[in-house]
Amino acid sequence: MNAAPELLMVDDDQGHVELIRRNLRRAGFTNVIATMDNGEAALDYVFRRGAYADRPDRPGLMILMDLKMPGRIDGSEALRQLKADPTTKAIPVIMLTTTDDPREVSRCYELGCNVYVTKPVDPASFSDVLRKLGQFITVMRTP
Amino acid sequence: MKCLDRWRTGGVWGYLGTLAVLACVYFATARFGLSLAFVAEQVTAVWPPTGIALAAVLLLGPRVWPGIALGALTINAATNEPLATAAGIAVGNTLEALFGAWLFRRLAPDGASLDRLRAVSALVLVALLSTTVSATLGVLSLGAGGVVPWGRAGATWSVWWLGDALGDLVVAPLLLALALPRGERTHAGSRVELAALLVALVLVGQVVLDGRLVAEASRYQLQYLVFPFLLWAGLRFGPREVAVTVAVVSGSVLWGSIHHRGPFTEGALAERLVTLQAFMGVASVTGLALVSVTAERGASLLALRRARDELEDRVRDRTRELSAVNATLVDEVQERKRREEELRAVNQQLLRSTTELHSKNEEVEAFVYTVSHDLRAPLVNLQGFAAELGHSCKDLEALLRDVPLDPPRAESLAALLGEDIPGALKYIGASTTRFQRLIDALLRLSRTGRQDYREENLDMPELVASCLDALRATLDASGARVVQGALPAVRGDPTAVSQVFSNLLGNALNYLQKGREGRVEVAGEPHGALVRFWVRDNGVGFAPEVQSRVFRVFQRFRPELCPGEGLGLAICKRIVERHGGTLRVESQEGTGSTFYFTLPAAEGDANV
Repeated sequence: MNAAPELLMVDDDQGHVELIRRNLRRAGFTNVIATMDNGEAALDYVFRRGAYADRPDRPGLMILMDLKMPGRIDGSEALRQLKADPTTKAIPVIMLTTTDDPREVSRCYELGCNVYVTKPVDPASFSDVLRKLGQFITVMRTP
Repeated sequence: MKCLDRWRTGGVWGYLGTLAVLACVYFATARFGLSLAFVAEQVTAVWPPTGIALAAVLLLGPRVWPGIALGALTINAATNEPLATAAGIAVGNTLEALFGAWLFRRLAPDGASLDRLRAVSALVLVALLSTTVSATLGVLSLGAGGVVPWGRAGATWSVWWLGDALGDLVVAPLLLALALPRGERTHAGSRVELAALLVALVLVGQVVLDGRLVAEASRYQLQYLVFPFLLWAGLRFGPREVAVTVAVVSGSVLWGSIHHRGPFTEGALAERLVTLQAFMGVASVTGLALVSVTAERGASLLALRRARDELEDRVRDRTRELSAVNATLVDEVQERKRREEELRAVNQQLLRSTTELHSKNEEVEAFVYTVSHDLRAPLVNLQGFAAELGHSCKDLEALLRDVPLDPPRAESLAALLGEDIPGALKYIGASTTRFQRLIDALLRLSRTGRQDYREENLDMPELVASCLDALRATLDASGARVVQGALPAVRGDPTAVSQVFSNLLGNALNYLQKGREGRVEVAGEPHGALVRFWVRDNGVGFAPEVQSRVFRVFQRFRPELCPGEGLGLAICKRIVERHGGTLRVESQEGTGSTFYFTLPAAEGDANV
C-alpha cells in the first residue's frame, strides 16, 4: 500500500497540471492524483476541512505545489502552514516554480520544502525533469 | 603797490616817473626828518629816507637808485652845504640802500615779507650794518666840507648811524608791511579789535610818550607801558598792523621829544637821543619779532588746518569710495546668496528627481521581473503541449501502421504525421526556446538591479585569473594573447564584478578580427577614489554611430560571430553604475575596442 501514495497537485495553471499528469503517466506513475488550483483549497484538502471534510482515506500523501498562485494563500504560505503543523509536517512537498530566483529558492528551503523543481521550457528537458520527478515520487517515503 | 607795479612795467616813462616820485618822496621825508633834527641840521633821531630807500630797492629793484641819489642830493644841497659834501652824502645814502637790500636778500632769500622771523632778523642786521656806510661817507663828507668839525665826527657818526638804523627799523617795515600782498589772514584780531588797539595806543602814547594830555605823567618814565600794546598787536595781528603800531609809538615819542615833552626830556642831549633811539629800536624789533613768530605760527596753523581739511576731504572721498565698494560687495553677497538658494533649490529638485528616477527604475525592474515571470508560465504550456503533440503524432502513426489504407491516403497521412506536424512543432519549439532565452535574459537583467550586493575588498589579479579560467575554451579557440597589466584592488560585489570582467573579456575574445593575431589587454590604474580599468582588444570594433547603442538591452552586433541575447553590456553597465562607477567604450571599426570602467578603490589595505 505504501507504494501508491496519493499525489496532490496544486497549480493555478491547468495546462501545467495536465502536462505534469501526462508526463507522470508516461513515466509509469499510476497513483491517485488530486488537483487543486489554489493554496486555500489545497490546505482544506490536506486538513480535511470544508468541502474536503470527508475525503477518502489514502495510504499516503505527497504534494507537488506551484510557488506562485493567485488568492489569499500562495505556494510559500501554504508550505509554511503545512510545515508548521505537526500532523502535516512530515508530508513530502515538492515545490514547482517557473522562477529560479535564488532568493525564492532559499525561502522555500527555509520553510522546509523537500525538493525544489524549476519548470523548464526546453522541450527535451521538461519531460526529462518530469520523468525523473515521477521516479523520484515513486520512491519517496510518505507518512 | 598797484601804482608801483604800473610804474615798474610802464616802460621808460614809467621808470622815469618812478624815479621822480621816489626822489620827491625822499626829499619830502628828508625835510620832515630834518625837522626832527637834534644835533646838527643833518643829524636826526630818525632818518626816514633811509627806510624809504631800502624799501624802494627791495620792492622795486636796485635800478631805482638814481631816484634815491637825486632825492638825497637835492635835500643835502638845499641845506646850505657845499655841493661836494651833498654829493658825498648822497652817494653814501644810495650805497647804503643798495648794500642794505643786497644784504637783506642774502640773509632772507624768501623775500621781504616780515611775517618770517628770518626776515625780521635780516632787517635788524641790515639796519645795523648797511647804515654804517651812509654814516661813514656822510661824516667824511661833512668833515671834508668843513660843515662839521672833525672833533665832533664820532658823535655825529653815531647819531647818523643810529638815525639811519631807526629809519630802517621803523619806516622800512611800515612800507614793506603795507606793500605786502594781501594774502590769507593768519591772525586772530578783528577790525574792531584793531580799532580799539589803535585808539588805546594813541591815548597811551599821548599820555606816557608825548605827554600832551597829562604833562606830569610823561615824566614818570612810563614809556614801557606801550609794550603790552605791542605785545597785543604782535600776538593778535599781522605784520601790517604791527608796523602801523610801531609807527604810532615812534611818532608819538618822537613828537613829544621834539617838543620837549615825554620821558626823554631829561639829561644831556646825547643821553636823551640814545635812550629815545634805543626805545624806538627795541619797540620796533620787539613788535616785528613777535609778529613774525605769530605769523609763522598762524601760517603753520593754516597749513595744518589746510592739511587737515585736505585729509578730511580725502577721508571723505575714500569713505565714499569705500561705501560704494561696500554697497557693491553687499549686492554681490546678496546675489551670491540668491544664487546659492537657487542652486540649493536646483539641487533639491535634482535629488528629488534622482530619488524618483531610482524608484521608477526599481518599479521598472520589478515590472520586468513580474512580466518575465508571468510570461514563462504560458511558455511552459506552449512548449509542453508541443511536445505532447509530438508524442500524440508518434502514437497516431503507430496506431495507423496497423490500419490498412489505400496508398494515396497512406502517403498523405505519412506526410502529415511525418513531416507537416513535426515541422510545425519544430518551429513552435524553436520559438519557445528563443522566447525562453529572452525572458531569462530579462530576468537576469532585472536581477542585476535587484540583487543585494556584498561589499568587500577584491583581489583583482585573482578575480581576473578566475574569469580567464572560465573563458579558457574560448581563449584557446581564439588563439589570442591576453596581456594583464596592473590591477589595483577594488571594493565591490565579487560575483557582479567577475561578471563584468568575464563579459568584457568574453566579448573581446569573441569579436576578434579573423586573420590577425588577437591581443587583449586588461589593466587598471588608481583614479582618485576610484580605480579605472580598461579591456582593450584589436578586434573588429564598431562604427561610431553604433557606440551609443552598445549598452542597450537586446542590441546585437555581428550575431554571426557569437550567440547571445544582446544583454551582456547592458548588464555590465548596470553593475558598474550600481557600484558608483561608469562604463564607456572607445572603438574604431576594424581596429578594435577599448572598454573603460571605474569601480571604487579598496578601503584600508589596498592590496586586500
